[in-house]
Parts: sequence; C-alpha cells; structure tokens
Amino acid sequence: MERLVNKDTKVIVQGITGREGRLHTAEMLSYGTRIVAGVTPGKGGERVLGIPVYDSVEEAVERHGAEASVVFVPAPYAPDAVYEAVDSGLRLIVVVTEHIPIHETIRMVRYASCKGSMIIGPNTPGLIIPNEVKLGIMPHRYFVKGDIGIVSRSGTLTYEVAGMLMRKGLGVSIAVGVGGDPVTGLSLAEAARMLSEDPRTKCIVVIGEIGGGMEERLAEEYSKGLISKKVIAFVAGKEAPPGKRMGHAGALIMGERGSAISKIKAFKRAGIPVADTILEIPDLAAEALS
Amino acid sequence: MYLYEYEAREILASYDIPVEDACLASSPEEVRECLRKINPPYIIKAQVRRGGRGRLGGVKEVTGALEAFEEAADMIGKELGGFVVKKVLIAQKLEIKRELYLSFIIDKEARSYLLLASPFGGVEVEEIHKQRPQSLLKIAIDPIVGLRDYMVRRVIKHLGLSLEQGEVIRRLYRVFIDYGCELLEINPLAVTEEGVFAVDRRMIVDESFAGTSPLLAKYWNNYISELSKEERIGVEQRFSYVKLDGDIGVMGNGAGLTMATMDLIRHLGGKPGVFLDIGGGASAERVSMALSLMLRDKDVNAILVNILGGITRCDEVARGIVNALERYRGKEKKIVVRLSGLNEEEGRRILAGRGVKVFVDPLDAIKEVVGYGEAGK
Repeated sequence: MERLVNKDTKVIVQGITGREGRLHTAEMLSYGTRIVAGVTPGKGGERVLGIPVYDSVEEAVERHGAEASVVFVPAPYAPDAVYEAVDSGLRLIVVVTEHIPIHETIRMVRYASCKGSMIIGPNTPGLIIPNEVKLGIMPHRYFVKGDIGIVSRSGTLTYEVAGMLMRKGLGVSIAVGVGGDPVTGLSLAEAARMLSEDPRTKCIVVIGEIGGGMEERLAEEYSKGLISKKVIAFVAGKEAPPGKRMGHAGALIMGERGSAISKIKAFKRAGIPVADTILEIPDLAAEALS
Repeated sequence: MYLYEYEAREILASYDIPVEDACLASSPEEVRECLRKINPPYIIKAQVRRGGRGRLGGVKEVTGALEAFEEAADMIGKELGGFVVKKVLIAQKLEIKRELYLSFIIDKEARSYLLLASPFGGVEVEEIHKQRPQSLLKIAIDPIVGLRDYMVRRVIKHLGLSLEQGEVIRRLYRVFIDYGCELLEINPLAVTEEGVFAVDRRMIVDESFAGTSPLLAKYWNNYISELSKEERIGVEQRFSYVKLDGDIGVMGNGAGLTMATMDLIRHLGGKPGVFLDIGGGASAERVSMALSLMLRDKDVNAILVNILGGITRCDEVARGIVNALERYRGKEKKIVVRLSGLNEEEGRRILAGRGVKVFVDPLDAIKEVVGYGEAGK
C-alpha cells in the first residue's frame, strides 16, 4: 500500500477546472496531498488554486513526473480520460465520476489491468491515509489516525463508521472505497489483501452491501489464508427488497450469491465476525484489536 | 431498464436475427386487426417489464382466432405481477423441433462478458441445470477480445447447430454490445424446419447507457413516459426511490448509508415505507425535491432525513428542507433530521425555527422516528 500511494506521491487531477474538481482539489491540497498538475483538454495554460493546468496527461507526466490521478471528468468523457491516464503510464487512477456505463467500465478496467495500472472506482470516494494523504473526496473530519483499515463499497457509510470509531477513541490506518458501481477496478477482496500487507493496519473492517458477489469472494479468500489480518464485517441492506432479477442467466451464474443472507453466511462460515447493525462495528473492531 | 419483449423483438429483427411473425395490440380492435395479419396457431403474450410471465398466466397458446381474440382482449387492462398489461403481442406459434437456451450477461466479479448456452431451453432451464450441470456451457468473453470464431464453434457444437446457423450467435452478441445490455437472453432459441428463431427474448439495458444512447432514445422515451410524476423526477434526478410495505420514509445520501439506516429502523421495531437515496451532491435543491416526493407519498407517516456530508453545507441542506415544508404546508408529516457536515450549528438553527427536530447522533434520530411510525404507537 505504501508503495502504491504515500504523502510524496505526485498526483494530478483530471477535470480540475470543473466545479467538483476545483472544490476537491482545494480539500486535497489542504490535507497535504501533493497535487502537481491538473488536466482539462482545451484549458492548458490556466491555473487552478495555483496548480498548472495542461491539455494532456502526457504533458503533466513529462513536466512533473505525475504518478497517480484523481478523475472528476463527467461520465460521457470519463472513459477517455481514464484511457489517457493508463496510456501515460500512471500506476493508480481514482475514478470519482458516477454513472459511467457498465460496458465502458468493464473495458477500461480490463485495459488498465493489462497495462499494469490500478483503477479504484468508478463512483468511488477514493482513499485516505489519515494525517498523510487523500486521493478523492473523503471528508477528513471523520478520520483520525489509528490502526484499523476500512474497505468499503459505500462512501457515506464509510464516513459514518469512521466517525463512530473516532467517538470510541479508535482510529483509521487507511480507508479505501472501492466504489458503488456493479463493476469496479479494485475489488473488495483485493483491497483487503492490500491492507493485510500494510504494516500500519492491525485489523480490517469490511463494509459491504447487497448485490454482486464481492463480499462472498472476500470471505473465500480469507478462508484460504490470503488475508492474514483479523477481519470484521458489516452488510448493509438486510431490509432492502431484492434487486431486479437478471433472468435465468443471473440465477444460473449467481445462485444465492448477492443477498444479505448469503454474504453474512459467507463471512460467518469463514470465521469473520459480522456486526448485526452499524452500531456494533466499533465494539467488534475494539475486540479484534485487543 | 427492462425492455418490453416486443421492443427487443424489433431490435433483434433489425439485426437480421430471425423472429416469428407477430403483431402488437393495445385494444380489442387492434387485436382483431392483428389476427387478420398473423396466421394461426397463436401465442398471446402480455407485455410487461418483467420476467416469469408464463407462470403468472401472461402467456397463452391458442389454436383458433376466436379463442385468440378472447384471451388477448381479456389480458389487456389486467394486472400481471405488479404491472398493468397495456399491450399484448400476438405471435404465430412456430412448429418447434428443439428449444435451446442462449444468453449474454455481464460477469461482474470476473469483469468479463459471459455467454451461456444450453441444448435444453424453456422455462425449466434452471431446474435442468441443477440435474445436469454439464448441459450448461459457459464461455467467458474478455471485453477487449470480444466474441471469436472458436467460441462460436464451441457453442454450435454444444447446441447441435450448423455452422451457418451459428451466425445468429454473432448477431446477438452485436446487439448485446451495441445496446449496452446487462442481459440479453433468448429462451427459447427455437430450431424449426426453416432454421433458428429467437422466439422469446429478454433484454435489460444499463440505464447509464440507455439515457444517453441515440440507439435507445425511442425506448428510453417510452420508458420515461410510462412513469408516474414521482418516478420520473426520481429517474431524471437519479434518485433511487423504492416503495416498501411500512410507513416510515427514509431518505439519505448514499445507498449504503440509507440502507444501513433502514436496517436500524427495522432493528428497533419500525417499518420503512420508502427508501430514497439522493446520491452525491446534497444541494438545497436536490434535498428539497427529494423531500417533496416523500411528503407527497400518502403511505408515509413519518420521515427520517439522514444527511452525512463531509463538505456538504448543513445550512444549505436545512434550507432545502424548509423549502419543501413550505411547499407542503398543511400536508406536513412528522419529520426527523440527522445532519452532519459543515455549518451544522447554522443548519440546526434554521430547522429549529420551523420546529423540526435535528439530531447529530444517527441512533437518537432513528429512535425518535420509530416512535412516530405506526409500529411505534
């Protein structure tokens, strides 16, 4: 994790001249993130908050040695921005943009993995290492430094949990939001594996939700010993109505996977304690630490 | 967006994928006209945006025109699995020798496309798969590589089709890609004396794509035009508004937070009636629009607004809430607000002026709203 991102990582913001891009660039700068450049095609030569803006990612890499990007580009243009970042050799691309079509996501995620770039998102709040660096939009007021890692499919729920940990006197080593879309670059299990290798992290809180099979996958990998730290989990959506049925095909490939019950069962089978409500998370985390 | 079967039929036909003769009717007069155009025997199919129509009685096989008229006219206007049947498809029933199953779906975990094929199609496909897992062929298709000839050869061998008939597989894949499908399912893919026909089709397209693709504009507009005012605002604003069986409306920013809030309400004995995720960007306008939807909902007795924002300005959110309450003066419901973010004090002051209870701790807010709901009385 430290190799992937730390306080010295040189970061660019794609879509820096937009409302969201500008706002969160200011937030990231004030947190200490080393933002070296912004990119907006057609706006090269401008400055945003003192940060130079370029027409292309390539220029930002040449001039500043950029290593990672945070993407705020609107959905219709976001895939292009991501391909550009991959082809310019950026090793980490955090895609905050929402509503990118799933076929676009699936192609760009595959392309990035072929080229050795990691995509976090789309539709992600990004990641934060408290008191050090953040890439994305996580509000730092809820995060204090500590030794609990958080991997999550939900943005605001992550802030809620981090805030609850804070009120209990517990802190966060790293929090990673993998993104709320059905297909994402970094998966929940991959994020947990990364935190498992992070020396600052003593235990991992997994915040899952209904739909897809990422939680079940994480539980399977935990059983196989691929995640060596203590893990506790929560699944949102026990009371939510079942999602739309994807024909016979959905049933044929997913079986029971996807429901809250399936996920909770998978965690318990793997020996991962599951919080019944979010209120139990801090106690379970404290127990895991002791 | 779940397309109507007749819409999917039209799309497949435009890709030269063989389909049966069929005619769409929305009134008894149109049924009569259709029956003149299509030769017997018939299959009458209710057009609703969901699957499992057969089991609900929405698919009828009939031999003669008189019977067909009665069945079709009877279906129109009836309720079927939560939808009112406005249109029926009057299709010619083919003489089928074999029923196959073929679908394309997105494998979200593997981040690939998946082709599923079985020589045993029909409504029992899931059962047959359980008894004979070998009958289902799964081929992962890398989105960068696409569907290749060797894959098609494997499929036609598995299904017992000729090389020539395999062309339909390539065309279906093109539809799957061009229309941004989450699912394209042909069940059955019917083998007759004349060749292969896609006689029943299920197509679900990604809404992020459907709303922007010119190919889908016609179908998207049709979808939007059928929504209620509330649902339309929801789709346009990208709110997610889901009705449940209780009486407490739960509104939050972010699906996970809103679901976790709902789970806690249920845990404490309350009954959620609406799930409303307003998504990112909790501006005054969005909050006001979303709360208005909730205030209009007659099944909702009490409302919990749970807005957790880091850099969201609580005074903005509070103004949005007050604005909605002003608009619905006299039709107000019990409302409890949980706000966290910038300018919390100011937000609380604005809402206190309107007599709205504001909490910082989510649990306190949830306890309060559960007390207001039917189950709490």
